[in-house]
Amino acid sequence: MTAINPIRLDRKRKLTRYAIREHGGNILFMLPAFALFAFVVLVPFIQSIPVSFTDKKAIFAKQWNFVGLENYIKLLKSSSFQDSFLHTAHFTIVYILGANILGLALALMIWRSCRFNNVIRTLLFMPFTVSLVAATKVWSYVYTDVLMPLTGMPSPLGISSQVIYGLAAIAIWRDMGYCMLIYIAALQSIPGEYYEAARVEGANFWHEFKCITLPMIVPAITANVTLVLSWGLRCFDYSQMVINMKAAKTTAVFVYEYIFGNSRAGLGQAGAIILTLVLVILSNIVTTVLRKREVEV
Amino acid sequence: MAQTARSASVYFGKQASHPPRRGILRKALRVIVLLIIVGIVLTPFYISLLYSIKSHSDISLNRLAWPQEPTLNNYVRVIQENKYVAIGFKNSVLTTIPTTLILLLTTSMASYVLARYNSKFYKVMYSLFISGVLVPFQCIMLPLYVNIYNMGLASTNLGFIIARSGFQVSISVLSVTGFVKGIPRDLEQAASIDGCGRLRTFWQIVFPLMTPINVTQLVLNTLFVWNDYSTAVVLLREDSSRTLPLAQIIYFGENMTELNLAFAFFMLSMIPILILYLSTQRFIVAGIMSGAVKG
Amino acid sequence: MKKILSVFLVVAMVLGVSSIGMAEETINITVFHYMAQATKQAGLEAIEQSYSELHPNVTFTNVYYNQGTDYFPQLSTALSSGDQPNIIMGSPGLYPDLVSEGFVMDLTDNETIKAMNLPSGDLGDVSANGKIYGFPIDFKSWGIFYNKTIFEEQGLEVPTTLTELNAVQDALIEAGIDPYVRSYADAVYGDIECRNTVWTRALDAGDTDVFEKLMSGEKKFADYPYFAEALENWKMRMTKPRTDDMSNTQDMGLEVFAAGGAAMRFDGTWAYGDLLSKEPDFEVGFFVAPIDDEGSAKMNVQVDQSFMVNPQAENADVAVDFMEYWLTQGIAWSEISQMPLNTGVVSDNLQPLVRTLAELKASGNIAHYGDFTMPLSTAFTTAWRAELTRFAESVLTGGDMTVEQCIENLQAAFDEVIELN
Repeated sequence: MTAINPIRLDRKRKLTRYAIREHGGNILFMLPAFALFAFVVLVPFIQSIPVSFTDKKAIFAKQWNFVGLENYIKLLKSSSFQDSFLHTAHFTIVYILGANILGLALALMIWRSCRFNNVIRTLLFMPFTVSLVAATKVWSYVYTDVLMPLTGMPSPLGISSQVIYGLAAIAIWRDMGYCMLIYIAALQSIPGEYYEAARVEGANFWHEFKCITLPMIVPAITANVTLVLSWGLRCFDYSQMVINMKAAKTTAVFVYEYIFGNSRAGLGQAGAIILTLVLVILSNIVTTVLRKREVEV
Repeated sequence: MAQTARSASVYFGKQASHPPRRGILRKALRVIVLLIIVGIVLTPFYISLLYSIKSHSDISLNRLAWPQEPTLNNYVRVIQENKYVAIGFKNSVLTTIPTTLILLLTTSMASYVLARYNSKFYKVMYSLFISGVLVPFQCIMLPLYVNIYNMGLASTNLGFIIARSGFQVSISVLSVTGFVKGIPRDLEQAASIDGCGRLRTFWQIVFPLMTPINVTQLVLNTLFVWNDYSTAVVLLREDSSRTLPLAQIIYFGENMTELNLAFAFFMLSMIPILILYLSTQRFIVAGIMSGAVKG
Repeated sequence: MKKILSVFLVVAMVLGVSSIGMAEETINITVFHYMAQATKQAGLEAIEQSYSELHPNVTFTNVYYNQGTDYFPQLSTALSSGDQPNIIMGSPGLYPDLVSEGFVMDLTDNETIKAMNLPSGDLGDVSANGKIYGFPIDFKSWGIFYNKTIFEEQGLEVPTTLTELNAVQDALIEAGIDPYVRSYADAVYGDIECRNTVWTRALDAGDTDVFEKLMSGEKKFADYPYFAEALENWKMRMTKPRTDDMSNTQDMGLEVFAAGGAAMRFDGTWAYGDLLSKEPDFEVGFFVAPIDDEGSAKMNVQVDQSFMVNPQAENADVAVDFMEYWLTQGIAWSEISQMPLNTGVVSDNLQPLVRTLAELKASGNIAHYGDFTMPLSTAFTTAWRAELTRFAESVLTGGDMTVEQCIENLQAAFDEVIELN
């Protein structure tokens, strides 16, 4: 019992001290970013939770009562809140599919680097530099001044059954260049030998795509889908642009209207928390499902 | 340095080259299809440019034709008549530059640690940072404003810089961490054996290796901050503090009466960003491509 | 990289130093408003300037937000943080929480307002729970603007009955001219097309509490026949749709109208200034849309610019004094903004239409929103307008929504809002 090796003990102590120094250093490294993040996102989010359990009306109201889960129950029962989720989901699905399929198709066309392809890449990424506010305004004119005379069709933004697609098209236009770049990177990292081997065995384009390209770019798909999913589910500016179209009201707009415009802060905040929860759960599911399909190179 | 060279070569295509499998006809078809797509993608830019250099009567007569007499008059009017343009430009520059620098320094340090350590604590920290991407802005807008106001920072550049940096941390950490994971550890280990301190190792060894992603982050964050409307509209109430995107609500409000001025303004606010983008696009494209996938 | 960094740093420092604010000793009055039109903003500045000439120590800060999206959210955010604007644009009926939380001053005993002898409707529009909370500066109305040149060429007279209006529409269609260009991308347009019938009929029937009852759920849309009548009248006007009707904003529609693309346009009087700025020589006439063949239609009147004073802000007395000045000396405002004053004061610098409106209102044959016990609140207005937009879409695109269905949809939407309240 008493035969403790003094040297080992010493080393252990040193290790601990080293670990403390190391982790302490790490924490200091993370501190500035974390402080900013905490002050701007984390703390306000936590601050916003209690309101969702009250019947607070205007956000400047000085009196309110604790109502428990009433707001949450009301919302989950409300058909307009459910509808807003359906619209959000609809928009997000079209947006994810459009941005990723088009981004991938473009990437497949121009992933090789040569001067022509580089210029095309630069041009296709340009919409990403436009602000959302400007993009929506300009597109309303694209629809009415270009599309309408060309096709004779009314602008999709005024048609209930098309408005979601009309909005998603704007979002896809803006963000497919970003997805494309990430797919290009993934395509470039696939070793050329894989294709050579496949070609020796007489595989055609679709075989190659299905058996080599697709499995190899799953990490890129994960990255793109997760990001576009979070943008899509938080869709606010696009929906607000066609504010009187009932068929395009997203959850983020619903929440904003109830917290501020309609002076039902408690209810709106509960909606915001439900939205955040759905976002966290959905993006976790998507990431887990996609991660499982990733293959290590 | 190896990493820098690698990602540059990825971009310039010296690396992998899959054997091509197409004839001249298919090549031509590909070029035509691409040009058509680029044409469609650039239509909104064309319209903006067109409307911004047409006189009012020219727009109402024939919307899509090239103007008979292109004019810069709209631009002149925007600069002269919209009192927010000069203030907005100043404030936008004053907030965008510090924000991107703060983000550059803070997120590169944090991401370095998050990429290098895999114990539970760091995983939780990483998830926490990333979860910021998922919080809808409408949810935190009010408490954030109240906090900033109570600190006396409402309608100040500093308040906006802090808020905007805080929002951007999540998405920056996401892509920078992915990039750092791809940097080999050998150099750092060699440095620490040589007795280099943590901070020195980071600044002298790791940070230079992060150049591609850092340039990308600088530009992408500039885009996000420069174009930001929703944070700005909450935090910047006084005229003297307003940024450029807030100056456009005069034209893009409910009653957009002067289309040509609206588009001239839109083009004006786009020009700095487009110049920045076009002059750095090699790095951005390379940086986005190298950072995002390895996460 | 280092070069870029150092350039960034230097620029940041140089610019950073120059952004230090300076304190002022004068009294500053902050005005929160949602007047989007440049003419109105210029009018506000003009009236402020002339006040500052009388009181050199008073300066003004105007804070503008877009009404549909940002105004009330930003106002609320400001108030909840203790950031107190002095003057708040809006009517107390629309923002009842401002009243209940004490952010607007009770002006019931204000001598200046009393001395103006304004009609009950004007005061009703700036009142809540029987007390006056706002200064009613000017008013708005809506109806049919028509292109005089086209009417002359086609030999058409201004219609005074529904049948005549129908005949005018048919004659225009016959001649290959679009009778109307509509702007249903802006939510307010479906609303104003229905108000004419609803307000006139409701006030004639003595249903001053119609909106109050609908909002409380005590009454249903089907209980009031004039909602269906309003939809029928509107439906009759939705003849010969244009492809751009549903996607036009106010501005896009005005553009077409000013260029002679359609003979008529149902619009608010606020669009008049914009129309003239597009086409200064445009020959435009205005008439109140007929709602039947008996000539029952009355001009709708609603207070437009109304301003409340925040007693919790500093220098509330100065803010009141400024508003009294505006209410009594508002002709400068009226001349620049081309808005007809509630006081009925006119000058030669006003456009003929503005003077006509002021005279029409003075005649008293009007349906005033302020005579209702309560206006529709924001949540109900949103629901009401969204359903009307759906109705317009269906009618214009050949859908099959009937008036009865629209009434049912409206009721369902209101029930939904009531449930969430």
